[in-house]
Formats: sequence, C-alpha cells, structure tokens
Amino acid sequence: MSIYEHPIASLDGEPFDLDALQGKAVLVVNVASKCGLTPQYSGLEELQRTYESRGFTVLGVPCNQFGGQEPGTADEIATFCSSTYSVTFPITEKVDVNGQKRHGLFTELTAKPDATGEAGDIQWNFEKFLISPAGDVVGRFRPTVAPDSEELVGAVESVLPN
Amino acid sequence: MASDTWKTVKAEQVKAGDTVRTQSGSVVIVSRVEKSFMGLPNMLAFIEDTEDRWFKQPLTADSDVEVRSS
Repeated sequence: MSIYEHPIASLDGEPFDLDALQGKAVLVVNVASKCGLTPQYSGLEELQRTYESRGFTVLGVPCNQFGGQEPGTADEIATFCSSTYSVTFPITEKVDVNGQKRHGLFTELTAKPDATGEAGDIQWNFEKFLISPAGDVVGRFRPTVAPDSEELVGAVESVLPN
Repeated sequence: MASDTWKTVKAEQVKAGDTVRTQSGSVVIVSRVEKSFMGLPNMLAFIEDTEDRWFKQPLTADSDVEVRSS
C-alpha cells in the first residue's frame, strides 16, 4: 500500500489529501504541545519556510500516547501551534502512532529503521520520518535529532525535488 | 468487595504485570519496562500495550510510585 493511501483527517476534521503530497519531500513528525521537545516546532517551521518553495513540507501529526502530552482538543492544538510557533505547515487529526490502534500511515513509517538499524515503535514525541517525492520512506530521525541539525537538514536537501 | 490497596515502591522495582499509579495520578498497566529511556541511565519508562491503549510514561528510576495489590 502506498504511503499516500492511508485516510487521515486534518486537524479541523476535514479529510486531508495525503495524495497531494506526491512529488514532494515530506517530513512527518508526531507532535505534542506539552513536551520538553515542543520548542522543536520553531525549527520545523524554519524548515518549512526555507524549503517550501522547493517542494517540501512538514506534516505534523498530534499524538497523546507519550506521557499524555497532547491532551487538548483540535481547536486547542490549532491555537497553540499558530499563536505560539506561527506554524504554517499542515497538522492532521490526533492519532495513535504505536500499539494495536496505530494509524496505517505509521505502520508504514515505523517499518523504517533509524540510523542504528532499529525499526519499530516510535520512542517519544517529535520523531521524524522523511518521505521522498517518490513516496519512499528514506530517513528516520529520533526525537532528540533537532530540526536544524546537519544530519536532518542534509537529508532534506538531498531529496528536494526542485 | 475488597478495595484495592496501593503500596509505594521505587519505579525501578516495578515489573511487567503491575498496575502503577504515578505521582501525577496517572494509572498505567505495565506491559513492559524500558530501561535507559532516551539513552538516560537514570530514567525508565513504563509502557502499557493493551487492546485498549498504548501509552508510555517515563520516570526517574528512583522516583516513588504506587503499585496496586488487591
């Protein structure tokens, strides 16, 4: 099954068109509003603004499975993202990323090993998956890998379509 | 009906199968314990992996938690 074929909704509840991301480089990140890593939103938004014109987008996916650090409603999450970090990249509905109720998109993503060769469960909030314009999962970066790190920025630049 | 009782232990003493209540009041049915959470040797994480939910709660290894016994 293609990475783009898993139905998911936007934060506002309307269907999100994953298919529209075909041909783009996409960084999927499970996000949370009350985590020590939440300031990574700034770096993610910087990536968005820097590379959006070259066919790149961040896709934020809220998840409350890690310490209950994304407890809010969709409205609360949207307000937090826009007012605190001026986020412009798309945010989906809140989903499960691990366990028996794991969203299908994350079934595909978590099959990708990280730099140490470890695949499977997401460790914590702000794990990052890089999808190439062809729809292949080409990178997995654990939560402490910062959005402005050489490792992550280099990987993004290597798959930009434009 | 007998009521549950809770015994205070250190987080590092918790094992799979325990039901724990953390200081924040969060109750976790521990399916497994992850050592060195995020590579930090003084941290661990309780993971609840059941039909109802998957949930991860990190703690310092020497923090107090309550374990349920009935």
